[in-house]
Amino acid sequence: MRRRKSHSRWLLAGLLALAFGFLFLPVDGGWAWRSQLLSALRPALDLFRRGEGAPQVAAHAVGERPVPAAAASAPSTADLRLRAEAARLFDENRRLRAQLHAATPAEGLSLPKGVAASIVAREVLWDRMVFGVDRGTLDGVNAGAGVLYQGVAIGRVVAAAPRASCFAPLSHPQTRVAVRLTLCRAEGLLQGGGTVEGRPGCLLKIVSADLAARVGEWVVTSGLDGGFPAGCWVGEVASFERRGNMEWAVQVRPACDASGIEAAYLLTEPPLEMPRPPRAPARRN
Amino acid sequence: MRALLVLTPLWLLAALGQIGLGALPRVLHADLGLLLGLCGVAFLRCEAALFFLFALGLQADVLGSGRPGWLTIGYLLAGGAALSVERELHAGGWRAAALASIAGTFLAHGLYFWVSSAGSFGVGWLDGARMWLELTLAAALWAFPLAWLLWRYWSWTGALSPEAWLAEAERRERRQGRMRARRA
Repeated sequence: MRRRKSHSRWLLAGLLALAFGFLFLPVDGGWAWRSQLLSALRPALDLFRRGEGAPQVAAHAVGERPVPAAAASAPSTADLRLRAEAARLFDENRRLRAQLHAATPAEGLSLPKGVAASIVAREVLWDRMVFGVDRGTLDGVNAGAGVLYQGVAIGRVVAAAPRASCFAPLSHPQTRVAVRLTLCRAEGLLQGGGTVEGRPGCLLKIVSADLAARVGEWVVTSGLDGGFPAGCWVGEVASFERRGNMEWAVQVRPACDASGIEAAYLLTEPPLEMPRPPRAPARRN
Repeated sequence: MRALLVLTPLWLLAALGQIGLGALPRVLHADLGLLLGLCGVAFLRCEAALFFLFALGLQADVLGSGRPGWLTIGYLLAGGAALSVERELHAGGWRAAALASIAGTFLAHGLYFWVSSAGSFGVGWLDGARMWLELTLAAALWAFPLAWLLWRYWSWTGALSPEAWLAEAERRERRQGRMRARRA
């Protein structure tokens, strides 16, 4: 009996040593494993979620508000009057835009290519800031891709597996997005971290001698990081201060709190290739 | 082989359970993997229980840890503490296993909370303490029914360790003796 007990102690010590070895793995490796596990469990997860009305949720994430069944079947007189007025205004708008040779909203503000995804894993144990979604590389989602909710940038994909992937919201300390202030046009790198009015916020670092930012000014993506196209709304300036001669720290309040959403829109367009200088030919002696 | 066949579906069910609990209120987010693993230490053969605990720890790290490795270490340390009171666990049956899994949750997640707050890779001290207490409270809610179910399942599949069988037989004999004495 004593011999058996010492045997189990050795086994425990060996497994503990193996577990200590995992501490040397990068955090991204953990996310990659998580998306692989979610991908493997996807059939079982789909079985549990069947009949929850996933298509409606997905449409909501893209930006189309689902019409309630009652309203669709029996519109009231006020509804009909409002719809007719909306149609008239839309036509008027289109006519005026045509006169001004301006782009129609469909051409100018269409969403970038992507897929709507439902959130399948959230708030598991301690890592409450990374979400698992039911779309992966088979659907065109890649690591680093941007994540939108009703057109607002809310995070980035951190790991992608064939049938599932994980994304971190903008307030996650390891999320970085290239952004621009809409009025003063200053550009910088947005990083998660800190709190704004008691809620998770982001910090925007701008390298510039002067900054003419205003509190409440909108922050949009600049499109320079390959994850998002330019112009997606990110949030607004909560406060800003100078740090050093050439650096400004801007606290940004995210436009959308990602913790409460049920679905998201994952961008699938390949990241932009930044031009690189041609390699110099090897010198011959 | 039998242990592998019995424990693999449980490992998968634990993964689905951990993901599924995310939809419930936070006070019900128990660490099902740790509860299963510590009940395994109480009921299964030592080697099978330790490997099962290790696999469940890895799963918890993959699914819900900000820094892979610490939850597995916490699981194994809690398992080691449970092994040191192995005899009492066998004698106590499923109720003792449930109590051990609550204490193990407190210990393993306490370690993670302390390490993550000090290493600033998890949540802050205040939020972390709240989550640690929520996990322990949720474990207290889930542990007793889960320990009973596992006891029934492992008895039915014949995966119980000889010590656990012996302790159960002794308990049954004592109960029958008491009933006989009462009738007499």
